[in-house]
Amino acid sequence: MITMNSRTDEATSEKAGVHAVEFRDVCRSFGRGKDKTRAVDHLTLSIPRGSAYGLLGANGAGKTTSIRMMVAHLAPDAGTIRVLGEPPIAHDEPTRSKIAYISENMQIPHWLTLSEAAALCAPLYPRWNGSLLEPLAKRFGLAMNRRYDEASKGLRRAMCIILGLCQNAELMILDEPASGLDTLARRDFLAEILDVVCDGNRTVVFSSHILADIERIVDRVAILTSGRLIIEGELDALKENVRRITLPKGAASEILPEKQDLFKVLRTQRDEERSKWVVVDFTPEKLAAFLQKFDIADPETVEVEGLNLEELFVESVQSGDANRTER
Amino acid sequence: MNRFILRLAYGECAVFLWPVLLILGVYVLLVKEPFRFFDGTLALLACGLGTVLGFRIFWDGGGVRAFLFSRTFSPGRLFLVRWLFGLAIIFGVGIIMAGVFVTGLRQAVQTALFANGWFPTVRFSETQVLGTYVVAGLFSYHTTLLFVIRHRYLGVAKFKGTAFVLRGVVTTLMAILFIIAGIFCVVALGVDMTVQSGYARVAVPVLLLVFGLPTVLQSILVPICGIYCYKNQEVES
Repeated sequence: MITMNSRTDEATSEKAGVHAVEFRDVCRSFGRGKDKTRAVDHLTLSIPRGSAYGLLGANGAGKTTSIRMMVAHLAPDAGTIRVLGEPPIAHDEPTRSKIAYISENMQIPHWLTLSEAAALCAPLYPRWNGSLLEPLAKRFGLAMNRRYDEASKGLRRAMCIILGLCQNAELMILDEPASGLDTLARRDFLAEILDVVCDGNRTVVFSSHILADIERIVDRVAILTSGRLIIEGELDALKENVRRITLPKGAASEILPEKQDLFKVLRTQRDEERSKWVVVDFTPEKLAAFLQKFDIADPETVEVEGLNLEELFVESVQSGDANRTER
Repeated sequence: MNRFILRLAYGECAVFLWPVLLILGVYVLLVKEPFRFFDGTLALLACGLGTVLGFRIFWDGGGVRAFLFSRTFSPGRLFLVRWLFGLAIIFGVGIIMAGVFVTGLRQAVQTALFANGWFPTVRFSETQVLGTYVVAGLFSYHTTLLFVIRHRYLGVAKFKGTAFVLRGVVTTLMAILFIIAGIFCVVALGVDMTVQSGYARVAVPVLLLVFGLPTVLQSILVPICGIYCYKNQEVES
């Protein structure tokens, strides 16, 4: 597992004290015997309070399982989880009122309208912000008196989102919440989440397949593969320090990553023409030292390119898959 | 919090509940023969009421459970309030029935419509049938409720094969008893509820033993099991 933090970020986390969410060596499996699948495999991560945290991973990576354990919808097989300082299973009602959870498949009782659902939910949440209700309904194009089962898939999703946003919760946990929304509605939803993020005192945990959404909202990401954490850290730091180095054909391409101690290599790819390394701790000084150490005469032949989030995600997932195959 | 749970519970069962109550009400008011200690038809109607309540209150879709279990109330409170809501309906209907007998409303209807010669003699003695109603209603409610919870809990829990079957044995046995009793009520004692038949002298004490005692035990065990299952079930997202 690779963690990337800026120095300022580490200092801030330490100063902030308690994390919003902490996973310590958490495991969770499904099935028995030959069919047993480890959905979460010794997961350790901490989500600082006040951060916007993205959980990324391919299908079956363990994102939803991890999120369900955060909200006590699943119990871990091993390890400890703390949400707002306590195990989720031990949360009392005041603590539960500080958490808003919106998931992809969540449904409201079919016969409720938005106004009825809001009227029922409002007394449960001391921080309920009813003034958001009508503007959000208008923004998403949702009638206040339309029953849930009379609404389209996208509007049903919007109803769940609106109820979640009105909770004005300290911790928002979102699992593919925008699934089913059209482009405009998704844009409106992201704008609302950005408002929450900018609050600074509230924490958002956001899981989505749409990397553009993640990139827009979050300041930290964790990438999971097969239940394991591959890479985690501040998004800007990851983009700054993760690079793909292409070594040309010849002696340079024969260098093995394990024979050097300058770079932490996430993944390597080799063919007849070249060797490509994805490294997570790139600096120009390290590159200069690398070139000197391995006597690479013409530095111009060494290509260094930055990775956007999508490329970083692909490389991390493929790295995790390769490690799993080796094991 | 309780208002939220109660409102949802009522909303889930209202559409089915009112027709059952209507049929029950019509039966209680219009049947001409006086009610005695046991009435097969009333027992069946009470079973219908209990079954409707058990299914409709507790059978949540996966997505709705994710919504419910994410609210501020604990799973234990959710179960308890729902369970008590069902009990309140069963006993509430029983109290209304008692009122119908004792206040003379049934007598008035019977006299007006049928000039029924049994009244006013049997006006108060008819309340003895309430025992049948309560036992049948409670037994069916708790059995249905346990079935639903067992399905939800064991359906996703890590128990397969033998363990799955064993854990369901008690509920399965109760369900079998329930079905047998239903058939027995109709076939052996007759839909016209004439309890002077030869079967009644044997059947009634047997029914009391077979259903009365388990009903009391169920009323104690169901909340314990229900809270445990609600706290430990895996909620789909």
